[in-house]
Amino acid sequence: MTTATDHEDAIRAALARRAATLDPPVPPLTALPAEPRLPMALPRRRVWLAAAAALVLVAGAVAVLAARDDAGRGPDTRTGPATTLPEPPADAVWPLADDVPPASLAGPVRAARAYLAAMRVGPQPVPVRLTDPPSHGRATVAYGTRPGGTVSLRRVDRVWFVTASASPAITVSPAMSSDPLHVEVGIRLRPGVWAGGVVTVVDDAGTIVDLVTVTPPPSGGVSTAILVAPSITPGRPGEPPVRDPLQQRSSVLPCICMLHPPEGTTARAVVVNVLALGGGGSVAAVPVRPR
Amino acid sequence: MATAPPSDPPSAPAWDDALVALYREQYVPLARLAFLLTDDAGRAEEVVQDAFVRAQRAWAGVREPLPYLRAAVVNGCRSLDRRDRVARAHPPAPPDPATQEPDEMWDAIARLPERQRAVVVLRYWADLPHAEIAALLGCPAATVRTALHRALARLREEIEP
Repeated sequence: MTTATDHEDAIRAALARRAATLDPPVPPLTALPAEPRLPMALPRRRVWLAAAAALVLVAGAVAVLAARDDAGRGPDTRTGPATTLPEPPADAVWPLADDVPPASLAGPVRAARAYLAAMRVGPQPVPVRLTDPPSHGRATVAYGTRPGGTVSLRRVDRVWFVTASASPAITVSPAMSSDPLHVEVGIRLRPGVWAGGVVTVVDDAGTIVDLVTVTPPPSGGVSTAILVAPSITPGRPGEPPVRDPLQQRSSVLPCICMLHPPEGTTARAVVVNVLALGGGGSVAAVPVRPR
Repeated sequence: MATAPPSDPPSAPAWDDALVALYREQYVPLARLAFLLTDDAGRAEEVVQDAFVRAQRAWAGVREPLPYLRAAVVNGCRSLDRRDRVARAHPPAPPDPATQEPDEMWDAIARLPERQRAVVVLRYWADLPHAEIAALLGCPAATVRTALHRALARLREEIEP
């Protein structure tokens, strides 16, 4: 049993140790933002004025939309939610199959939620928020907190497709394909954050055609990843790839994953699903590019 | 009186010499204070930079610069915390990669509720008296004493179960 003073000293020491881990250089004054980045408390009068202005804008927008709708509605004009998915854009990584209800893709936040649920990023529901208002048919949604991540989306008609997702604790190099049977991607999991993950390559239909698992080193030390069981020989058409005996490889460099889509498939995207230590998870996805 | 430091471009707003000196002297300590309150180095630095920008704008009316800056930092961190509270309630925070070695006491401090953590940091790291902590947090000194008492009890429970 420690005394009260010992206890307080231990707290002081812990705080001092922790504080000492942050030793930032003092940025030049010119690097400071002109305006504070945090939301500031507006004077009450300004809040009322802003609210009134917003109401006027919303009312005006509704009136304009209603007028345009009445004037322009033809027999082929769709006004409700899309009932079928349009063709995914070339840079889409999800959804690639049409098994996702279009209504769940009707907005960027809704689509990001559906994507995170499909990727089993948990625990659900994952908190999500738009980082900025959608612009030119593109939007970015942030999810989770630590480590969390972002989902980039692109709108086609009234459906939002995911074009990439990222997490600050996962580094994914561009996925390159030198030929249809080989996809190469570098993965780096920040140590001490992740329990492990699965790297998959999906084809044009969103089907997983090959995967490898990645785990951080048991020590949780330096930035090392261990690649387990890469498949070496592609399977015949309609058959799963033939896997070599388990292999392990470790490196202080980003782990290079070699993925082998079977013949007859087209690698479309690489998806990295990771499980965080202590629960939660994250997902990173990049389209596959020809080398 | 108000002059821009030599490194500033001509169009930059003027920074008072005293504030510039305070900036150079207090940036790191305040960043560390924010870091202990948020556990996020990037956000901690943002909060401190914003605090100095606000101080510059309000400089004419600032009588006690350091307490002003400290209050701006604490309030900035608490604003962040309020915004993140719901999200933070979901996934348990994974270990910070910056800390490779576990620190049981720090981990316990980081798990304290916002107000208790702030009181502990301001009392045992910033060495502020109860009255000043109360002024910073906008609550009575008795509330600070209660929060500190509960925080100490909770930390003791966690460290010596």
